[in-house]
Amino acid sequence: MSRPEYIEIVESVFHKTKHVKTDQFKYVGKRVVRWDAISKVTGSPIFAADLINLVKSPVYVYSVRSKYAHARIKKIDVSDAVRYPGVVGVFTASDIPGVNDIGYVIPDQPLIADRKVRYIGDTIALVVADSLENAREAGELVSVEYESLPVYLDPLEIVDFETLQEKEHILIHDERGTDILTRYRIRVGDVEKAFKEASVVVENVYKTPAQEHAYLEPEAAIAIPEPDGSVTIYAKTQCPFEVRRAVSSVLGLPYHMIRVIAPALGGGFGGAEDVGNEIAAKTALVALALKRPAVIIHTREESVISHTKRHSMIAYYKHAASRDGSLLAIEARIVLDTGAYASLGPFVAWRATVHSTGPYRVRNARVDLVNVYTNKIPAGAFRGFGNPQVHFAVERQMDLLAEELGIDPVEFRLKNVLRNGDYTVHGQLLDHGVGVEEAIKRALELSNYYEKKKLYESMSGNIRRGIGIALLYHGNSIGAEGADYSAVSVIINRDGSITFRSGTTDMGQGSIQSLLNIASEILGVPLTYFKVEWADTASVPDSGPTVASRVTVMTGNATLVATYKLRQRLNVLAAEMLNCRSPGDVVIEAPRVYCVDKPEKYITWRELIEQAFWKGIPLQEYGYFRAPPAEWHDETGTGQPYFTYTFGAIISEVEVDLETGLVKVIEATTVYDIGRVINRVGAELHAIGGYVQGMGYALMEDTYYSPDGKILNPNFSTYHIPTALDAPEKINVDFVEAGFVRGPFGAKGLGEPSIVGVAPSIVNAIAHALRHKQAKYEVNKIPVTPDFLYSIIKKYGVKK
Amino acid sequence: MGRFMFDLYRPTSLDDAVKFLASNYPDAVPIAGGTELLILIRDGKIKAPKYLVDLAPLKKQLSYVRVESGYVKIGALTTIWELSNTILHRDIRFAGFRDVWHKFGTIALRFSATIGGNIATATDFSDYIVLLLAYDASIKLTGTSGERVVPLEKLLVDRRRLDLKPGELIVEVLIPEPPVNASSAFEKFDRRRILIAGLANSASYLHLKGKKIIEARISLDVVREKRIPGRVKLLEDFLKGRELSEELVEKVTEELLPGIVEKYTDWWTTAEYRLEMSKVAVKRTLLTVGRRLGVI
Amino acid sequence: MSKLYKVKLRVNGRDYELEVPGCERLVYTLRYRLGFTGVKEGCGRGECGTCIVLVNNEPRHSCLTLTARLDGAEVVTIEGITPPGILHAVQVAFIETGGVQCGFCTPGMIMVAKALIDRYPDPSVDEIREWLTSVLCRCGSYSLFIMAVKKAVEYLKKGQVFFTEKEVREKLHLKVLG
Repeated sequence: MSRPEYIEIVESVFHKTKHVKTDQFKYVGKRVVRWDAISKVTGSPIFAADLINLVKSPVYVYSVRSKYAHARIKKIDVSDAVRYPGVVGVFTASDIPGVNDIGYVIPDQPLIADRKVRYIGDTIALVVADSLENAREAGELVSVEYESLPVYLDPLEIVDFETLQEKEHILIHDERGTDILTRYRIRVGDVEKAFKEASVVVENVYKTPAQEHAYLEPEAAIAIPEPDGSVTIYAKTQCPFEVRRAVSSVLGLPYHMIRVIAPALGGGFGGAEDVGNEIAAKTALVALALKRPAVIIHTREESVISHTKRHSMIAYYKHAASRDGSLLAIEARIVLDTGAYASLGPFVAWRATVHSTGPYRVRNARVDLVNVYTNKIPAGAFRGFGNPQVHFAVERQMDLLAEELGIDPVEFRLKNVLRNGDYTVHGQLLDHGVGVEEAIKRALELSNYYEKKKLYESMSGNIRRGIGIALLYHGNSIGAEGADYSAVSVIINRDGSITFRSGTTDMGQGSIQSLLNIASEILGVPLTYFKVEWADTASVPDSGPTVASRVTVMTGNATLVATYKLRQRLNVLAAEMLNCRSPGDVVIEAPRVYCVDKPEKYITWRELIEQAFWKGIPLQEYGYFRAPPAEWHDETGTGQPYFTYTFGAIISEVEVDLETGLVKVIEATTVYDIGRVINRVGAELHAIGGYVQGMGYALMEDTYYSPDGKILNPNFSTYHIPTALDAPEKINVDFVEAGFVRGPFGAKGLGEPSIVGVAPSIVNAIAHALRHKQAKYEVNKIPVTPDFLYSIIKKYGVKK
Repeated sequence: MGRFMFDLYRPTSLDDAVKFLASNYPDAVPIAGGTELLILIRDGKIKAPKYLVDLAPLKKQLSYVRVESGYVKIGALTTIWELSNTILHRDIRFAGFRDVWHKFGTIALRFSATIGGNIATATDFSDYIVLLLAYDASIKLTGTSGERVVPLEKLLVDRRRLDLKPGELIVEVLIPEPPVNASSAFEKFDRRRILIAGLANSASYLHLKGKKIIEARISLDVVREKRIPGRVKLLEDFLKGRELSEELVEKVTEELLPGIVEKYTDWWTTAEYRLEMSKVAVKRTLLTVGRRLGVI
Repeated sequence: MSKLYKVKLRVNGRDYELEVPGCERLVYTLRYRLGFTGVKEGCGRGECGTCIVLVNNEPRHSCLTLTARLDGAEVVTIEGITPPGILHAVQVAFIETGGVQCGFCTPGMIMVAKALIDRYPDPSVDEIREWLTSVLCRCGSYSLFIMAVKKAVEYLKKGQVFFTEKEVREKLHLKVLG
């Protein structure tokens, strides 16, 4: 079977350029001022809530939410709310024309609760009024009769940690017959035999928290009913096509009657996936029913309650190694808490399982992972998507193992880390593109690791310093989660300016700049020729979701394909116009176009385009790229889960105050193998920003609940994210470019990898600072809050 | 979330403000910076009053830092930002004021928040209360029955409760002018560096003669039972007359504090840890003052 | 129905005569009455700093400021730190140092940065850092914003305070930097 053209194009460009050093490109790998920088520093109206002023007399939608974390609904009485002044409508589950469900992966989540509520946050009714205040006040008058049920906040109440079997309890999802959402496993080699033969075995239990995205922009959506019965929705969403799918199902309308536009997002990090569907469906429902524009604006508290969190994890790990430092076997039992609804839980569980053994050669592995429901805010996508959780456990294990073996933790990792030609634990051959060893070496160099390690070990007193390393690998894009494709539209206008559209969104990560860099490089035109339009489902084919660190690779490839085809056509025409020996001799350095051997004889880009217009050569192209399907065998956890992996090495240096347990990160070094740097500014910001966010995960962030299931810290003063004073003063960043044959110019993604290795490197550094072998085992939980660390310091008498 | 609805009353004078507050009690509440009050109303923690009495017209009258008749007098409407341009940030006798300032909210908040407002919030994380207690501060109140001066300690009844008569306004903070060879320090720390409540906030004031402690005043965000700042008198009495040293401070905090101080457990952390951190905070503030006075 | 209060405000150089309820917050007035959506509301509790504007030249959280109390005040938002078609050195520095990611914290950061250098023309890195704690950035660009303020200070020292938007676009928009 012949390979699709788009794969041929991407691979041929890779092969043509794989020996070109990045600094020789014109736009790829360069520091570019991003396309929206001026809009952002001038405060232009580019976020969803800013667009409200453009709509005349909208109605405001307020979601009345459950006050119980687990209860059956006996009766909902909206009569008082309906009568409240200013109220134009109250919607309950029975008002939904289509399917009352917004489950992201499985249909387990009603848009509006009808039969039961499963967390404090489930929507019970929508009150619609002429002002947000009136809607909110009327909402207080909705009265609900509940029959309360037991509230489960601990996943170990749902499942037994030893056996991973479900425990007796009142089912949260009785309609599914079980509160186990998914199970995944890896069965490779002979773990029992390996443990018997091992010289050293290290086992421990690890815990990670339900991290909150805490992006600065609370969600907003505006739905406008169109004259033809369709609806246009502006919403804070990372995935406009997913929104369209969800709204179509809820409203019972075909896709083409639903137009979703994603403006700029004030941060997403995975949190603006589910909630985007929810607020779009709610506003669209109301807008079409009342034939008025409908608006939702969330407060900070509503934002925290309504968007998904990171899955918290409890994991048992057992590693075995031989005396010479070879990793022999890994056994793991992992429990993830998906909260009240599945959201992206099935996929998070899968990714966590795939990466559960870390970037190492592992011949024997037995991993069992289970994802369970509880009555907490649903857990879903958050940068890393299950990988930060398992890497925390794995990288702590590697350090503990190294210590038991008496081998330097870096040497131990170097001995076992994946290299070109190795097989992953799933049996996937990585025949190229594994740059982790180089990343390690670079990180050691940049951080001055060995010198610092020696210095820190010699320090005494109440302030201790430690240095720690963590490695990571992160499969790019969605792997076996589903069909993996992306698309862009590139239109060269008659005057030579270019309209660029992609269905992927900008939540700050700036990957659209990567797309422009690729487009400019291929076409030979300055970046300023491009104008970027907002992601709009009506004007570009399904580009897939903006998730999974996939935009640079997948949409980048789509961009590469589109511009490559355009370039080929323009080359042919230009060669004719200029009399070049062959189309391959055409150089485009817009505004000039010339033959490589006759630069003085040039035409202008505008002349070329005008001529193409007259000669009937299409100047527009839809770029499409589809990744080869992934392969996964559920029974054994083997196959080819991801088409490529990003690698990284993170080194953190911390200062621990033994008197208080407070930890300060003083310096960090992050080196990532991203195949090829396309957008240098974006990549550096990922490394730095991902570090700060990972630091929050390691040291200060956790969501807390009252016994009846109410979140206790939905504010910035009670949920601690790093401030300007907390961010380390120095973060060294560098990149390794072990190109991936099917990435644009060899590029790989960085959106999520940039957080995966941070927390374990920090905790490894803290453990190093403690210098007490037993105490190190107990630093097995994040966030390492000062009281937690203090209790360990006190218990083991770690003193001056 | 609470109902965020109220009317404003703009008083023409201090007298007018007091009269309006008294005659509309409890439906009228004064607003200075609003950085605490508006959040309480927004969150539904207090019911929106019918009237907020806007104290802004009184700003000129009630914004000052003066040294007169043996007292440092601070107008209640002096903003936290304005404090930083006064003697309180320049003179070593008031060094603790700089410590509080650097931990107070974030810089932007300091332009709005007032010292009177901080006292009126009356919680364990009203940081200026912690410091002012160590300065033996008194508060001047104005009401319909005239003025009175009350020691800050007595004014604090319980969390968010001051012993105010209906219509009474805080107008001035009075601190007895400290002698030479006196200084203070304040400590506040938590999981991150700023925008924090604090695990155990403490202020210490020492008047030394050489190494000898002439007077010690130590306060904590919570001493026992009530979640309001208070003085740790037993510790102060023990220190009086002794020679300041690291060993003394270590011994005194380790051995004496646990009997005097009792903290609380909540979802953020435990009473045990708060107690341990109280020891550390008191120790550090005492040693910092010692360093500031050149004795340690 | 609550009482309405007459307020005269000068916002971004233009005079407005408004009638607002006592409980209306400045962030609402600026965003929805007057259309200055560059002012953001990230939390409504004075914790995130995205609502910070200058009131009589002082940085304030507009989410905790009542409009009716501001009769006679001068308010400046991100849209008004310069006349139309002009960018301030702080804005140019933010563009050049490349820290802008999602852009939601950016107006607040720029207002705070401007308030800082208006008062202290040569702040230390520590002072800059302390001022910038007024605004939270979840994308994590703090270190780059600190660099941007330092760069703005350099511009101001050379007397370069204002740049035309035209020249900024020509020099910087989608341009490859050094």
